[in-house]
Amino acid sequence: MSYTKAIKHPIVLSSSELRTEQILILQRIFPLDENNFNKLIKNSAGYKDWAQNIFLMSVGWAFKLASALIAFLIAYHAAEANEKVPIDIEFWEVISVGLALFICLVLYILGRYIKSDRDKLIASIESHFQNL
Amino acid sequence: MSNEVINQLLPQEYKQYQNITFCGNTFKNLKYLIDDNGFIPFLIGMGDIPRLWIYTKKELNAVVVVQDSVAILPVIRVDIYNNEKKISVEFTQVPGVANTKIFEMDFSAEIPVVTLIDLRPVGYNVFGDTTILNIGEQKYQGNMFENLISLVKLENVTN
Repeated sequence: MSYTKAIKHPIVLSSSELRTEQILILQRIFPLDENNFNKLIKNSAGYKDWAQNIFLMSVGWAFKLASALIAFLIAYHAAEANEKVPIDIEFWEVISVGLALFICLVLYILGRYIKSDRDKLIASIESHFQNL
Repeated sequence: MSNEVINQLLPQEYKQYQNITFCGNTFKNLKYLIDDNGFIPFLIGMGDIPRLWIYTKKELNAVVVVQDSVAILPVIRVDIYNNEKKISVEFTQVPGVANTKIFEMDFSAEIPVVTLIDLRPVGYNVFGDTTILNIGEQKYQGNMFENLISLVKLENVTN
């Protein structure tokens, strides 16, 4: 091949000359097969799911305790001196709420360290997009 | 737009060809094809099989399209023909695009030959075939470019 000239300087262009308007590749994509899709929609979040369910249950119990406490306070303020006002809260109910919150905390901590297949898949998707 | 800085980590294993025939021109010791204000969209590195990296950009981030001759996005296919010593890159499933091949290279000889390039789909007005290289509005044929960091750069970039 015969060369017309040897060039030792770069070709300098404006951005409008160099760049085209249309870029066809715009999206980062994660290839999700059927197996992984099923993991995402059908599998639970494991321990964290249990922790959330028990937490909601204990919140329900705590509402019952709170309403009993409010009823007691209203009755207490309305009562005459030396009048006994009963409180409609059983000891085991308080223990139940405390125990449920404790179990919830334990399950949450377990959930942070023991990953379900769904958690692992979500982590791998995150890592895929971060590393691209 | 031209002053934007793109976050891009270039591969450490990249080593440019000392000599390559590129669409009817010869590049000697050319490091990068395009320097878009620090963003390098295309790399052809030396290797038993040529090592390609192609990037595009989204907002201020570089998006890897091809990494070390492996297609990262499913819309891209990299074919390596060991017998013919050829490598090609093409789009798949892109509606309305007739010519889907964006790169082809023959590495059977000591000096590899780029026989096709079309970077328009990834955002650059650079395309060519075996005989001629089009960059912007200019056509290049039979030229030798040597000892350059980049063949093409933006006018506000210092080399």
